[in-house]
Amino acid sequence: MSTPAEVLPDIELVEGRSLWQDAMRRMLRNRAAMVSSFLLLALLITVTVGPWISGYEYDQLDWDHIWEPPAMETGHWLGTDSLGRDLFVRICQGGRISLMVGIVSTIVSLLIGVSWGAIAGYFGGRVDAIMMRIVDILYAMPFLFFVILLMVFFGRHILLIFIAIGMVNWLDMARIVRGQTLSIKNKEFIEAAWMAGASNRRVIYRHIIPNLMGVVAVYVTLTIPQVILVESFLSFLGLGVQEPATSWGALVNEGAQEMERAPWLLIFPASCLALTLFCFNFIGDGLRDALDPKDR
Amino acid sequence: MIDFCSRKLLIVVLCLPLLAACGNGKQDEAPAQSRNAPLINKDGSTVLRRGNGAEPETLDPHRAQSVNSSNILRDIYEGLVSEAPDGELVPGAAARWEISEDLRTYTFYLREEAHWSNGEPVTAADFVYGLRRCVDPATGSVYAEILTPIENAKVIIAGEAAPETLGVKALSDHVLEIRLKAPTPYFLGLLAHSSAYPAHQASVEKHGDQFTQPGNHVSNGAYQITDWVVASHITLERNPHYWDNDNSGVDVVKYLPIENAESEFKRYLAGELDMTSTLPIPQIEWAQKNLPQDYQKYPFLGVYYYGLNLTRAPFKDNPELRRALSLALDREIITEKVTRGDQIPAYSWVPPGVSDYQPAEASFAGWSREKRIEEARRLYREAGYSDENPLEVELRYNTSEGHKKIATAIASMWKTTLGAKVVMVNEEWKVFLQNVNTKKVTQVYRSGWIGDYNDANTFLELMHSKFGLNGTGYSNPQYDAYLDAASHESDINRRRELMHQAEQVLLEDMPVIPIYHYVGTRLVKPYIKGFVGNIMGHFYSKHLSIRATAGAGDAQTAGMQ
Amino acid sequence: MLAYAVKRALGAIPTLFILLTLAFFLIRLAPGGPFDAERQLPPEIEANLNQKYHLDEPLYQQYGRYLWDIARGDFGPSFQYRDLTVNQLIADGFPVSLRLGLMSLLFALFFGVMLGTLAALRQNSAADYGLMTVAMLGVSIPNYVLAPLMILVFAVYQGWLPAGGLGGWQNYVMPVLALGTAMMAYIARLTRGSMIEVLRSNFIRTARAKGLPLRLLLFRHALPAAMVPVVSFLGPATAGIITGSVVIETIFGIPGLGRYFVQGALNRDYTLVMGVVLFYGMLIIVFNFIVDLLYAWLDPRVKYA
Repeated sequence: MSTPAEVLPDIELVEGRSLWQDAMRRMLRNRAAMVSSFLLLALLITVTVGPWISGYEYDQLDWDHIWEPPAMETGHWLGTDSLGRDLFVRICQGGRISLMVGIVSTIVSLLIGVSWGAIAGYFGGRVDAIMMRIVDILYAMPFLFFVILLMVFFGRHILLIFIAIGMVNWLDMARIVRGQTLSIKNKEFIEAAWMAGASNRRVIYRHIIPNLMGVVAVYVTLTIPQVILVESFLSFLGLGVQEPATSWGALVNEGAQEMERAPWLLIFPASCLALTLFCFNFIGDGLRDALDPKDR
Repeated sequence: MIDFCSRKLLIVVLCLPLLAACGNGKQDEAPAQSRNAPLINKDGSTVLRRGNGAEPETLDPHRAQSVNSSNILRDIYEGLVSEAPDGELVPGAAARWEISEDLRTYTFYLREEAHWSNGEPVTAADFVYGLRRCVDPATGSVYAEILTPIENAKVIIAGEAAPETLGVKALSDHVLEIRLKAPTPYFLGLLAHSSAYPAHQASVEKHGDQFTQPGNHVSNGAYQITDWVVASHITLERNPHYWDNDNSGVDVVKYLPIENAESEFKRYLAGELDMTSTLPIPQIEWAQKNLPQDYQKYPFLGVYYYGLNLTRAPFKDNPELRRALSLALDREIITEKVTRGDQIPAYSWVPPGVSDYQPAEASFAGWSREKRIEEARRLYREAGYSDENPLEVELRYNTSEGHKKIATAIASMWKTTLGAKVVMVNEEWKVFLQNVNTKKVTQVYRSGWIGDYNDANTFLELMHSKFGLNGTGYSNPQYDAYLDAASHESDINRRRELMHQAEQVLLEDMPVIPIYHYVGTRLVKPYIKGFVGNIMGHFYSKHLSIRATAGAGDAQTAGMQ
Repeated sequence: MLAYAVKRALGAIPTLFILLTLAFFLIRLAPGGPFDAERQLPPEIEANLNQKYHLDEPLYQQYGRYLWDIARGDFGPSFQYRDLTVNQLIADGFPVSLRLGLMSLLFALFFGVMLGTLAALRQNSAADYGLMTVAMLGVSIPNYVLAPLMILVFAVYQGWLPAGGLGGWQNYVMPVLALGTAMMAYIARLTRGSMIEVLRSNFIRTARAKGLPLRLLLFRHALPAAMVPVVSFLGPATAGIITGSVVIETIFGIPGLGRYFVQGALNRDYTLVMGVVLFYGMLIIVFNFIVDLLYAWLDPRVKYA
């Protein structure tokens, strides 16, 4: 399972390829992942600067241009909605919110999940048993019920929505990190490192964390799209972002209700949503392949 | 083998999205002919399938509160007074009645041929039991207040007197006397409301809360419940003992609770419904164009309004600001561009078309758009606001796509016309209700009111300072005085005048901003005979029947369902 | 094995207890009550109702009463559907939800595993990319888009299937597809990944070298090993079915339990929402137990005692 370079970590005279360099190289060679990263970056830039390029505001109503299909002349590049608002600007604004929801709540679940899992896995024994029991209990809780109640308590505050979703979403992370910590702790290369006289610090930074990071990175790229979908589900229930702000989920939901009359209202936001989820998934797959030591 | 499978599957899987795309080309075609056929059971009985919004919370006439429950209750019960297809009051379980000189004693002569669904005759005692049950606090009736014109009803509801003291008496098996506290011109209309329905004492007492279940339920209307699957359907069949079966329409009524208006619309198009309960806003134009025969539109006794909380800043003691907001709100744009259902822009509180009443009108009703905006800006400045010191206000509405759109439009109007900073607050229903009722945080809130009976009083009393539902905290002694006087007035013309004056006061004070008066829109299959739009939005299934010309060959058979 | 089952059952009791307690106090903390309505109740009548449903008692007393009722299997009367008890509502809705959920699960498993295996067998071919793109699409389209789209095409335009409601098997086709597609896509991806790994492993290489027919090799040896990650995904998947079914039930008008989660919470129907939460808690526990048994069956290294 381990490569010679890892068994003999101290021999660095021979310009050894570090885990990260190696992963980087593999990642760069993965065409799907690279294209996805590029697309995602392009989307991110569009979403950020788009509203400045377009001459419209996301909450600007225009009674003379209701339900207009996409047209270059009017400046409504992607058409307008039932209140005459410019769809392009709304998609940009919604994209900011959706991506922010995805990232912030993933960070929240990451912080809780990684520390929870790492502590449980590192200390093991009784601590591990109790902490994992708590995770098991929380697994039996219907996530939906809690999210609805949190929405009721906190109203529509966007930041609280992120945090709430993150707080119920950390369980998988905790489990994965714990498992990974446990298995890394018992790996030969860790023992070898110990025997070679590596300090505690060095073992953790050089071996445990990098090996954890792979799983975490993959998990992050898979969690962000999941959270974006959760947000869109909340929008379906009418519990999402507060108008006039919007999110991709909210736009898609509105579009789905008017899909026959104004198909562009569904097609464009849904494409953005799907494209983003696509990209994150491909990047996740790419990262997993790149970081998987088995496949070397 | 695997190779073979994989190739075939690949084709199928890859074709699925294509298939979906193919369908999109046909959007403007009318639905296929075969789906425009009524459902007729194998035994020849005709079926009416009605979309009915949310699942009814109960089929107990005295505890029901939602429109969805009332729709079904009108089919299975019959009050002393009933309604014709156009909403006119007609004799129901009572064949005729007499009203005393002082207008306070009503004597009803019940039909001897009226029977419960178990064959027992409907007697005056059944009505006495029903009315007492409704006002009895133990029943927990939401609508008991409807009966307050009856002598002692108010004190009984308050728990200060026994239900037996209600001014209702069975003079004989078929003669019922009701005594009122004061002359009430709209009293007969109240008797068509579900709160005044009779109840079958023996079955209610035997089954308790479960008396409404099929098998337990005994009803006196044209239909009886035969099947009830929560969230799926409620089936009614003819009450074989109903007195007027010869003149009743369809044999079986199937109520389908479909909350999602889009789903209801699609099921109608797919031929699974004969009549919808509503029509989604984005589909109205399409339906007008493509289904002109099915599209039904009728004015409907209801007002959509924004309430202003008068107990707190900024609306407390600030009629200029209230008027400014009302003037800056372009009602024509709301009805033409946002709600798009031919709603009537509201410049009065009481909707037009209400029985024997001409609504008052806000003074600016006839003004041009420019003049309104100018006046709105003047009043806004007069109230002490300006571009440097803009009004900051929260607009609350409960979660709903329609409310959201209207709120977005209005917030934008106030922003562009006055420069006000409007924060939209979407609240989940129960939180919203609590905030409106406690009046601690609300400033502007969206609301609506649908008339319980066809009289201006059902709207005007809402703003009376003593009325529990007044979320604005509006209290003007002059308004109350006009209404109080009207409620004791036996002269119809004088009463109408008093109510008109009250409404005028209300529109000057502007504690509520009326936005539009409701219009009912729904789809009804052309083969349904007898559908007449009426201002109450009450559609009795017994008035509807399947047109004979719908050939038997077209009819769907029950087996296909 | 039996001892293990008993141990798991006993372990579930504190879990359910904590779930119940948390849910009970959380829903009570939410603003508004079951009897708040647009037309406010006269105070006397509200007091009466509160007394009837014991809402006038101190919270801890209500909690005790609720525990006692639950212990006897009585979920109490529903606040929203006044003519019915929560037991009746669950008894009516559960068979429908179960049927819908199981059918979606089976659909997702069958096609997911099949597509995943096919893709793995032809790794990096056009077929592989095609299948995985379709799978990815399945994950990326929210079911509240997929469901109305299907209704439009298959019910309104083509008239092949009913647009909603319950009746024959035709009524289940679209809901099952809408509910199962995303899960199928996940399973296909999972299966593909683990199948590629398994096919590369030594024991399969050995079997291949020995000349075992592909079919036998696949079904007897490779599939069970490749199913391990799929099975562990089934736990979270059931939770996904519950959330998904809220959407599907709303759009297709299916009288299942999923909607009560949302409606019960939003209507402050305390007893109904507690009932479904507890019921689903139990189901998830039972399901996780089954998953663990499956796990042991598929992976001989895992042993429960």
